[in-house]
Amino acid sequence: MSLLKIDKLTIRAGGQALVKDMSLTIEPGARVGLIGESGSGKSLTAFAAVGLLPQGLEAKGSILLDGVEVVGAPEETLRPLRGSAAAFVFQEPLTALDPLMKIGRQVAEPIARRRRREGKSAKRSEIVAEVRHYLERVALPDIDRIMNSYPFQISGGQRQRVAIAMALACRPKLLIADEPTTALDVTTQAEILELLSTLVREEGMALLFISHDLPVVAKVVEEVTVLRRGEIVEQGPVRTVFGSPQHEYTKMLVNAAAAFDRALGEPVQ
Amino acid sequence: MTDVLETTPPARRTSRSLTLSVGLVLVGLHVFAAILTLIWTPYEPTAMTGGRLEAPSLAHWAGTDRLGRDLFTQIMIGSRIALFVGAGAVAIASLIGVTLGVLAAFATRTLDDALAATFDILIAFPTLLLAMLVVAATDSASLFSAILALGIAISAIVARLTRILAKRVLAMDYITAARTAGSSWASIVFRHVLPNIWPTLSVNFALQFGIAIIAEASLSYLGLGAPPPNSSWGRLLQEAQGTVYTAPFGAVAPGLALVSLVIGMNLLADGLRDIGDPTRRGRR
Repeated sequence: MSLLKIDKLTIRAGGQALVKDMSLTIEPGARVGLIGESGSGKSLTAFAAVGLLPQGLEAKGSILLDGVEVVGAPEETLRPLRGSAAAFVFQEPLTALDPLMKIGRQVAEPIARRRRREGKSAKRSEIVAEVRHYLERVALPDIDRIMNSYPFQISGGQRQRVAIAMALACRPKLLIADEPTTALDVTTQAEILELLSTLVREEGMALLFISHDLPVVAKVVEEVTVLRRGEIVEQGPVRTVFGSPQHEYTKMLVNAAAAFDRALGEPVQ
Repeated sequence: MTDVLETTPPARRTSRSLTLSVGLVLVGLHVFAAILTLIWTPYEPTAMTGGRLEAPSLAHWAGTDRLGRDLFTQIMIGSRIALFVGAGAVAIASLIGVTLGVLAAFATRTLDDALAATFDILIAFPTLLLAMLVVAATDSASLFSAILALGIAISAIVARLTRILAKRVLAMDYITAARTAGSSWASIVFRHVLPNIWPTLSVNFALQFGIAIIAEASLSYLGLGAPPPNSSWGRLLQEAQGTVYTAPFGAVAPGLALVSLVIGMNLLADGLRDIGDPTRRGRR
């Protein structure tokens, strides 16, 4: 059974279609990229997958997440799926973390929720031990200090690691990373990408990686879907799509990335 | 960056801690006096212990009223009444206001619009007038009818503020993040929304506390507040009105008490906001 099966998804705002006839399948453990310029419907598709479309938007078609139909499903059906079937990592870790909650408590929240779902005890000491485990998992230094810090007291890269730890703590089958490196500097970007790839492989999660940055996507995924103005223009293994792009838009993306690499005097990957 | 942060704060830090300490001292004095009246007062509040309309002296720190009763004793009891009414009114207002405000922020569009319009209409109604209506609706004026009246009148302001603040928090990325991770609405309200609106809300509570005290004095001045054995500052002012030229201190003393508590409350509010918000605290 596919983990996520989006079939002919159309998302409308009033009369305008923001996503048109989109189909995408993610098998357990697969790593899939969703690429396209801003406003192409990448994030909307991801939010639709967990039934969290902004007010006023309407989804048609079918989305099966872990075997459950998401489109039109009531909140009670959707809530248990969120976190356990799919968890998110967002673009801007500063705003994705509650500014007034210490990191330790913030990471403890998904852990406590998952333990309640699994019917395990929610004993404080056990939760704290798990918080430490996940913060270690994302290679954060000085865990005692970080657990006692507010988000604004740690660096951007550390914040994104915390956000990843929170997503991991849900033990999702699918990790949805929505431009997780866009807000970070180049060095931190590379570290976070490395971390995400390693974690996804080690935890056996599937990954949906959303980005407008072609080289970044190429580094972490096996398959890629190229979106433009809400429509799929190309879909397939990374090598095929980026190696011999068929659609004009994909060609343009590949050329732009190549030109950028040449300008930097580095070989094209 | 660190240089900038370390060179600017000293002046602000002292002004902030000064705000807090002056507020603490003023409110603390009133709280102390209020608690003290439960076990001890300089004189019996109803006993005629001196000449009529005496000026302040060592025996009578704030002079005496037209019946020769000690004014300082009555002002101390006034502190207790003011604090009691303020706390009661704010407690009622926060209970009703925060509940309705959060409800409106989460509600469907129609319900939200209806609630917002209701808050606006209630706010457009003067607090005092609304309180007078509530007092008039209850059988007789009592301390509790005054508290209830002010609480209801203030709750609309609290509700409107809560609604706006909660809506702003609900639009934040961390709420979306919490929802994608499977948080329930209840958990979002109690773990994210309330803690994040609390710093602003608590400052407003302190301001409303001051407004409630003034409103209670106004109600008592009009004879709609706590009935006679309770010596509210408003009633003292009203009694002193007729003799303000012969014994001005009779009006000045309760006025000073009122102003000092309200100012103290506001200063305390400012100081507390700085403590309540870790991002402000961290930047100092």
